[in-house]
Amino acid sequence: MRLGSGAFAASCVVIELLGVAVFLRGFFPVSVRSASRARLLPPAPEPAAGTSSNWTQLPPPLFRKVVIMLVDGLRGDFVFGSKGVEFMPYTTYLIEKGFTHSFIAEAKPPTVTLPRIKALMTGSIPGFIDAVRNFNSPVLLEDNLIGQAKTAGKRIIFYGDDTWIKLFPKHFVEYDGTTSFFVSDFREVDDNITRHLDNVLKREDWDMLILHYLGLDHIGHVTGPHSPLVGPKLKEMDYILKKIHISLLSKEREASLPHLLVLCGDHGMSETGGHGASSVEEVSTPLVLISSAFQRKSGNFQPPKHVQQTDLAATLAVGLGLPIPKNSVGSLLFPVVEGATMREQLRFLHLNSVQLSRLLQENVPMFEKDPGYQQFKESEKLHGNWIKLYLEGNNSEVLLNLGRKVLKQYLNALKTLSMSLSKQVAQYDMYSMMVGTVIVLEVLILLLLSTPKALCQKAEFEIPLSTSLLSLLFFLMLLILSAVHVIICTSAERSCYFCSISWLMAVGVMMLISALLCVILSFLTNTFENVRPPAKNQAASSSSWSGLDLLILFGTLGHVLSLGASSFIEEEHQTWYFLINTLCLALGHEMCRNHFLGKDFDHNLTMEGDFQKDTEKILQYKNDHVDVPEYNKTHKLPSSLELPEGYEKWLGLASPWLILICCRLLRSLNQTGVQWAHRPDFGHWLTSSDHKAALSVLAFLSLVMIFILVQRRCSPVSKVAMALGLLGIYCYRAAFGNVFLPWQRDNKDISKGIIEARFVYVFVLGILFTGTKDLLKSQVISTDVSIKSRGLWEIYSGLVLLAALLLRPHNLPILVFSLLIQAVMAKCIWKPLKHDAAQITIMHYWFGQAFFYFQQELSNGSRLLLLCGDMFHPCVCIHHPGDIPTLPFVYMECVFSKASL
Amino acid sequence: MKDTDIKRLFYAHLFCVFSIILTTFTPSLFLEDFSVLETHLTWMCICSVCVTIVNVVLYLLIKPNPSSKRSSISHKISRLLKSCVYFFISCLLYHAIIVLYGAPLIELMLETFLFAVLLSTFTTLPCLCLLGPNIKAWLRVFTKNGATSIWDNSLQITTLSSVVGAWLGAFPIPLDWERPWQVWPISCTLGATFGYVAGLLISPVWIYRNRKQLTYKSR
Repeated sequence: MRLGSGAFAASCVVIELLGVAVFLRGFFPVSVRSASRARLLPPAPEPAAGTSSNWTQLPPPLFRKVVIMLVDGLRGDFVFGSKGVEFMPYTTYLIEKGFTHSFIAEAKPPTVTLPRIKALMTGSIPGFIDAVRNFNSPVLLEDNLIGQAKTAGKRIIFYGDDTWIKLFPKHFVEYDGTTSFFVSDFREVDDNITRHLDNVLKREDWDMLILHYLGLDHIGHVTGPHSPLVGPKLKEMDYILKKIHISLLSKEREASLPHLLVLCGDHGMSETGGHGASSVEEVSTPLVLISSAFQRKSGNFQPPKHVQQTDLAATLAVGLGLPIPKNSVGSLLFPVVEGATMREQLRFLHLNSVQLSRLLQENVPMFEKDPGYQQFKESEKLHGNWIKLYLEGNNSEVLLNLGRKVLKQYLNALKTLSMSLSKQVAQYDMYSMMVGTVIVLEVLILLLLSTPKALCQKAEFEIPLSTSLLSLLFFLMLLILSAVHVIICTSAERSCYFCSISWLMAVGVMMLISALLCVILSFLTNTFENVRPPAKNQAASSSSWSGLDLLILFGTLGHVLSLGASSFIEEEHQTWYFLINTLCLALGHEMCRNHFLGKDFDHNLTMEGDFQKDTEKILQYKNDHVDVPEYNKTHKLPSSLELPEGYEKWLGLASPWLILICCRLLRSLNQTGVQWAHRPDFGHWLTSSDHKAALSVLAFLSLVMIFILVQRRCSPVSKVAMALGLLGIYCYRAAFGNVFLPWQRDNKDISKGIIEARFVYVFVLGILFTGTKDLLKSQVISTDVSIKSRGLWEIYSGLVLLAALLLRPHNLPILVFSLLIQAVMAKCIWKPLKHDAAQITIMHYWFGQAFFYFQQELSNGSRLLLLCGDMFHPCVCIHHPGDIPTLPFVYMECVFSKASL
Repeated sequence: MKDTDIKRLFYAHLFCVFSIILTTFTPSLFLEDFSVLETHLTWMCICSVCVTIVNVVLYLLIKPNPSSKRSSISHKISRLLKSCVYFFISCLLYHAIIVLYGAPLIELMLETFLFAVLLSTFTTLPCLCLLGPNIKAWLRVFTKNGATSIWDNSLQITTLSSVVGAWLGAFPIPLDWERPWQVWPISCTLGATFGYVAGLLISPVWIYRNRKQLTYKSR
């Protein structure tokens, strides 16, 4: 079968994607689920040895009304640390006086809002995949607290992030959603919630009130956790908490049961203000339960205990007299129920451990050997004995002591059960991962094998598909793989994805694997048969690799290898900075050699000799391999005729150093990574409110520079659109409050820059449209190269405009420098040195990576989110005839990082 | 003739290696609390001074390149002065490159500069000794097939290996291993030193093994 290079590459990419998908399916943990569909299991009866207990119903609720105040991005130390003391005086007073039970609840990564809400309400640990679904949250079908409350007839009111409304569309009797998309909005999102509060607190017709405040998270995303805006926001939250608490207390006098107020955060906030990863700042959230039912603890204030975020669901279920959600892996926060009688306490713990052990039974085949399960069985037996004694009317010291013992045992069992369930979540599906890896590796080898052919002029591949499909090896492989599949699937301890898909699909994948293997083998034999005779030439051609080629090859390989170590991943930006510096030096060396030695007559003799030798080799090589024209390009021929003269020569010599200096400047703009992220950098200096004037000047200059650099080859219409768009960006930033506007001083504008942003988007779309139109025209009429080039350039400028809009104002110089460096490299380095397409592409890739890290947009160490960021900043290079690639690195700031994840 | 040359090269290099090993151990006899890691700056000074002395002495003893015809005192002095200036310039250049690579600009200036000096002693100084302050000769040696004697070859190898050593030495700095030698510029200087020593040891062996292929054009 013959394939063109495009079709071949496309099919390879498709198969590769399939392999990656299979691998990811195995890699991402599947959350622990209860398989039973039955919506309502009867509550487990109280265990009793011999006699039967008379208490089979669920225990009555402990609290009448519950108010959950969830503050997005509330970090542990915002409440318990120095910030809490300073800005949240009422909360601190409550905590220190012992009106509360306060904990630091540890959130499991990914620390983004949707999975955290699910964790809080279902008690389960959602898989990593949920992070991707953050924006498209489907209805929560799992057993959850809200659903249980609704079935029990509780009336729930919700105000806040509209994610909840998507998750629980028909559960709230009254709701008002706020959207988390406008990150620049710090005040209105919260005012929209608070305005309902007075009215709701006066009324009596609700049982559960949920408030989700987004403002703090927005502040974190835009300005970071140490910004001066955080303090007033915390004060506002404290004031709201005080209001709710006082109103609840005033109502309590009439009611029989106490009320409960819960203050919690869904995730923390990293030092740069983002979230999503698993650093301590991101996973620690406060959990403060306030109720008059809690006994005031005498004695001094203790630091809050660490618990899991998932524990809240079980605790709330118990507190409201609801069944614990089936998939919850959390254990009851025991201090909350301490006020109840011993019998009730034991009953609560029993219910929770029955639920956990049920979950364990359904997810672990060898559950009987689990220490938690054994502990649970023991304590259940003891519990039965205690009930028996209790029902007999025994009220002595013995009963109390036995009760305490059972309690302790239950708590231990709960802890172990919860742990082993959480561990279950972190297990990989090895079989699927292996299958995915094999497919990916096979495609990779195939691609590598076909690279030499792809560089030929013909760029066509003879894929020996039919012969390999008919070969004996293929059937043998298929047979073996199927046998392995059957063996693995019948003996698997855990459910594995690959066994659960349909039989036909599995066979299809097996066929794919074995076909690929056969193709590779036949490819290999073909290559070896062809290559064997002219082995000497192979050696000759390999020696013609220049230092730059070696650097590019080993740099790329080394970077890939370095991703194997987590220490290197944390500081990946350093690798890139280092590599581009080295690349610049190597380019500088090459330029120097090109300029000085090309002119040096003294040594031209030797060079000439080499040159002759080389040309002989080339001729010889060409005789053997007719289609190897690339040889000329990779080997630089020292011909002094083409050397530019005068200032261009000096510009060429200076350009690598210029680029190095630019990179060094950009590097000091933003500190990224884990170890040095806290260091002061120029970016912080600029964003602090004292230096607003400097930032304004810088942003303005950058925008002007962007215009100068980009407009060169656009059509006049796009030039005007570009200028207006850049002006719009400046206005947007001014309305946003980042920069000064010389002609408008009043800050009464409420639009918050949304109108300006839309204005810019219109221009972006317009420029993109004209560019596409030009491209299409050149495709259809297919005569004028200049139209095509202009179309490409217009699309490019549209993307640059978009990037300029999305980048933070202090990062605008990065865009300028990237455009500048690209222009300089194209003019002074690639053209005179005649690098080939592959080299230029890789250099673009390196610079693109480095520039991505220069802008330091995402939270530290959160490589999962970087993954989604990487999809948005591919270094786009487009080649068109007669010109060196014009579309270099356009770094789309990952939109996800801005929006509140 | 060639074998004796290689032997001389080998012994000279062994002497250099020996001197570097001495710099790490002998100063502790005279100086209190000396160790390579803790009093790193002292060690850097001692090492660069020692390597300079050894290189100059070896050059005077062996005289690998026959000296030019004009050997008046004034010419020699001008050569010496020129060499000193070149050395200083190379130090500044290395300093600039190191800063461009990401070393702090203002803090730890002394450390950075001493590292530049050490790197210059490993690379520029042997070049100055063997080739003299002659940029064209340098450019010739550091191009492909530019070597005209085994001394040039050894120069290529030692220079390249010390620079690559320093380059590789920078990798562990940002990592979170919390080791004492990850502090700037210790790992880089150690890398450069190891690279230099390795170059010194490898080059005679490499030249010996490739002595058949190495045919130098007389010029």
